[in-house]
Amino acid sequence: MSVWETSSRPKVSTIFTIMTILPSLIYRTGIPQDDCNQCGKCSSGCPAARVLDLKPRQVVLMVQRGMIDELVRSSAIWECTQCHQCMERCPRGVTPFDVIIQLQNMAVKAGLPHPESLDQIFASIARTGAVQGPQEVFDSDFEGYRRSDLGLPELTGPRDMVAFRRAVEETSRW
Amino acid sequence: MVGLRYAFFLGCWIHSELYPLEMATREVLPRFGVELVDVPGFSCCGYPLRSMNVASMLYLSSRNIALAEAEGLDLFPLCNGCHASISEVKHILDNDPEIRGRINDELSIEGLRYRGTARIRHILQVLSEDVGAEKISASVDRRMRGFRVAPHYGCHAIRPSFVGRPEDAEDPKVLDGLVRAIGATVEYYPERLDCCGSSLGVADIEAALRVAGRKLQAISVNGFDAATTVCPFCYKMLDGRQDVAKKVVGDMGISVPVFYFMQLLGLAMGIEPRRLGLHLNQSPVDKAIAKMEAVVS
Repeated sequence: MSVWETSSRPKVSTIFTIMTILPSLIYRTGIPQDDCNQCGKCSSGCPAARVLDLKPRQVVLMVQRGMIDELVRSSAIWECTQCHQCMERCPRGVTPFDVIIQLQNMAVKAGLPHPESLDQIFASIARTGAVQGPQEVFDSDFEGYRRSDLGLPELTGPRDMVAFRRAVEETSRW
Repeated sequence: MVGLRYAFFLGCWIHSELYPLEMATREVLPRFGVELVDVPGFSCCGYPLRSMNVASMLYLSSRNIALAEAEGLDLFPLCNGCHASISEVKHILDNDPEIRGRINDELSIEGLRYRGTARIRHILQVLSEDVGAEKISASVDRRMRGFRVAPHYGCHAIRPSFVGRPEDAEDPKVLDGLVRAIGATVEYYPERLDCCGSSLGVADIEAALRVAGRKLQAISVNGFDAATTVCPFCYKMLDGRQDVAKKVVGDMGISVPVFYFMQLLGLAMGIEPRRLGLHLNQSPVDKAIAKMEAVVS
């Protein structure tokens, strides 16, 4: 199945309004209705475009044509390496990276498929403050080391975990 | 040296597994009079949650800045990714009073407040501006003479330029200058700005390894003595995942000793490799260290 094929879920064009709920979060160009002239500098600099289906130029074109449903349901929007090259090199101030991030945010809000690891990362941060706790690491002889074995201090996370979790959960609903 | 006292922010990956980066930094920087303060209460910078909800990144980065500000300290995130997201969030909060107000409402739940007083410092700025190339050169011996190093800058050290990065987006030079300051030779290669692929790992680990493998291939074919980076994500992709990346791109000839820059600096200062966590590097660093030692013995 092509990554551009859509799944059979209800139409979600209405979640496009998420983009207007927090207008100043899209503080850069946001939706490049008029600014993009499809020159392709963004795709030529994209590391994901070399190995996968994501083409920033194509994403911007689809947004210009109102194909938001297709975009939020495609797995291609999750192939971004977040390298920021597309928006750095755009000669017209369009920000494909921001558009891709907004599409990802929209897909998550709409309950559409997204990488499972994101849910796990969110759960871990809400529970402990970090993506993961200190792990044991190994040298080439398979000898294991923990922070204390390496003379590293034990550090403490958020003081009031209840308050922290409340704030994290509240902002995640913005 | 006055005021070289920073709230030392490790971020999730350095704190939980990339110990050599923390070891080398804690070992080296105090020798240059930089005091690293462990502020209790830090959390993830929120960067990994950007894809779920930008607001989560806004909140988490803000609270870490607020914690440093409460201590009256500038914030020094050791991780390239954390530094970029925290800098970007600071840029938003300093330019958008409405978002700043909403974030401060949320921060009050934890008894915190964002004021915008703390500077966000990058390891490249600490080394090149606070310490300075001159002091660094004066502290190293001659073991790096003739040692050919490929710099790998890391995307988030050079972009997005509008929030202010320590390096130029198209022509980075700061890391190059530091490599020269320790007495080594900087090698140019066309793929020097290429991404390591790390963030792709969330959606497609094989593709991420392919990107890393190609980068390593580009460095390996040139026969450089080593590659160096200041980013934990790049370090993990190029060092820790080198073995699997070379299988993914089908080039078992790839062999690149990868050093976190603070490890190279520490070695040049004559610090014992284990104190810099070099026994935990997984790329073939031993042969590179032996080459350096042959110069001074």
